Amino acid sequence: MKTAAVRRLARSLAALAVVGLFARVPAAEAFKFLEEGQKAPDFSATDLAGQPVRLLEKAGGAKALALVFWAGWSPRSKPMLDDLSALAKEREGKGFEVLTVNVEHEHPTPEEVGAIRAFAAAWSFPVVLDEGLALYSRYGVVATPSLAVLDATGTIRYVSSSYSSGAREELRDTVDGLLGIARDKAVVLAIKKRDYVPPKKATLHYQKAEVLIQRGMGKKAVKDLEEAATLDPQWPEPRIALAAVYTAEAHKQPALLAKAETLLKEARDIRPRHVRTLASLAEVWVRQGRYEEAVAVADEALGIDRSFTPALLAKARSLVALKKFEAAGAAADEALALDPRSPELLAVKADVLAGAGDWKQAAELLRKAVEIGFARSAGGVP
Amino acid sequence: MPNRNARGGLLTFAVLAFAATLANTVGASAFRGLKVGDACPEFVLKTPAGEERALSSLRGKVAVVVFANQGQQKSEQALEALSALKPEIAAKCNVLVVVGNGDEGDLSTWRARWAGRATVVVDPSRETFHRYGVFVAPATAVVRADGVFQGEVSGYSPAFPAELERLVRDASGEAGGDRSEPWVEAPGRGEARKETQNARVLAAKRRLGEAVEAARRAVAADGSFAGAHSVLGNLLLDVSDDNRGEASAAFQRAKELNPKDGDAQVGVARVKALGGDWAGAVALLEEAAKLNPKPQAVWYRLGTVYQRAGNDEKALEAFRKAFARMQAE
Repeated sequence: MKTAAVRRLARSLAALAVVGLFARVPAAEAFKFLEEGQKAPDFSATDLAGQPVRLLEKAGGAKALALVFWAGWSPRSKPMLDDLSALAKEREGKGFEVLTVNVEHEHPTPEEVGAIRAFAAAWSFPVVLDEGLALYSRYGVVATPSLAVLDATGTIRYVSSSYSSGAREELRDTVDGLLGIARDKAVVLAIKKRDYVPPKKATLHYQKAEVLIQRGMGKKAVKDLEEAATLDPQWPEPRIALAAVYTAEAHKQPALLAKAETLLKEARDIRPRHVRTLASLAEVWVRQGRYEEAVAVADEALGIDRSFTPALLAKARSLVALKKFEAAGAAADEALALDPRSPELLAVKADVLAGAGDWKQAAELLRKAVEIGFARSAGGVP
Repeated sequence: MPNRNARGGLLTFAVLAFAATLANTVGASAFRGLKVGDACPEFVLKTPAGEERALSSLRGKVAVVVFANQGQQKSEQALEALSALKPEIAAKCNVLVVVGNGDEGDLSTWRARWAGRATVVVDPSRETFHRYGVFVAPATAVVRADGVFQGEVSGYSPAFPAELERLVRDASGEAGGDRSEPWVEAPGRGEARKETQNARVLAAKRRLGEAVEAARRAVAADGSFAGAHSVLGNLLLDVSDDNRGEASAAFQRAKELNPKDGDAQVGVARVKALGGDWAGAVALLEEAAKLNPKPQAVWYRLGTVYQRAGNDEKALEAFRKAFARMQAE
């Protein structure tokens, strides 16, 4: 049982931590394509109770909305949702809403849906099934559970993944800050500081590019991303997205990797300790065969956010290439604990096993990776 | 022999790969707003010179409608391939190119490249792209003379010309019949196509029992539709190895109706593997992988056959090919 003094101390420390998140250490990244300050992509769905729900409409009717991606197989999902359930009860009538998205399987069977219902029975908030894992892909979820806290405009004000230690207090303080009931002003200040808004024209170009990328027209998005980067040279996002387009096209034009590297280095100059920039740079270096450098920059990213699975993936791939199978296996296992249905992570673990001569397990894991890939493509994206 | 759990695992997910095979080879994945057998929605669009062209104006002959973007590499490759069609195939069809990005680049110059070989129309707000459910260009629809959607070729690959030729021949009534006779679709074919598609969707959603029932309805609606038999056979095998007798008969019937039915070939390979004829199964699947423009599902099957045969190293190699192809797409 905590004493009041200990609770106050914990709260102050948490407040400092939140301030520090912006000032020095970025918050734990939860999404490949989104971060604080950006508008959350809207979606409509029907919840398990058969009620229609629309994200931005729900956010607009609240002061703070927690959007959670979770699964029954994820050991850290239940504690996060139980805490959110308790917080929702405590803050009832104050403008706090929760919307959860279940990412159990690409196509849950009726039996699995029954199990999800039973699992979620204790919570009063809506649960949406992510058929085909379309929302999971659209948001670029990197670990389960992952969470975004939105304000009334639908702007993301806080993200968190894997519900590591300390996340509970951070989450509670962020919500209270948005509800206007935070005891510590530093929390409110920290939230305001995080709310970086690029110029409108740059945002419009960036959003247009996002739509094109989602439709598989990455190359067409280049012009808009370049425009967004020019309009706001202090905004790293367009550079990161442009680098991602070039990296994806590099199997056809390897020279694009050099362009991606330049962009990511520019993004790193703008915001040095930015996890997604560093992880993207690691991926580029893996593809260029610069494995030692890739490990170093992936480690730098992981030093900021241990749960960012793309950095763990880049590290594991590099270590496999360097034939350091034991270390590669450790990185892959760490990532798989957070995102066990990632085909890329399963594939790198298969490489680790094959490297150690365990063909049987390697084949089994890679088969699973392919099956998940089929399930995601055969189901289609709404 | 594999243990029961391993077999269970194989069966549980084999359906997903099967669904993907079907989606890749037969399904209308590039045209989310259309199913095979549907009447193609009418549209009227303008050429760069401002003349109106309606889809219905192409009735009376097979139409190849290409949803393309100027300047996009794969769209250009698809159009080049269309320009180089065999004369006897080119004579059977009209080619209409619907450009989604008419406002980008020099459309007149671009259009001039296809002059005399295709009619180019512009979809200014991509409204027609959206009505047809086309998200990624190029997407090529083959439309029968009566305006019914015969099938599609998604994207561009080296197999594009052959696949297009097959669809044009099918649409003009050549496949499986006397070419001199007018082509009349078998009674119940529309229903059979619908149920077959339904079976694929249910299989992708892991509702295997319902998928088998839908495939049975497809066979009952039109027993001369090869696709329905091969879908039924594969689904029966997904349900249980014990169904191999009935599945085998379904594949045989599919082969009789259409000797080039790729899904039937995969099915026959699966039956051979179940009987312990690993070499025969592998040979059939390797051949099928070469012929399939999107072979990842066939490589997946090959991997599972190698696994059952106890050759994990070869299984890993096959899964790696499937995975690499999947990632590239």
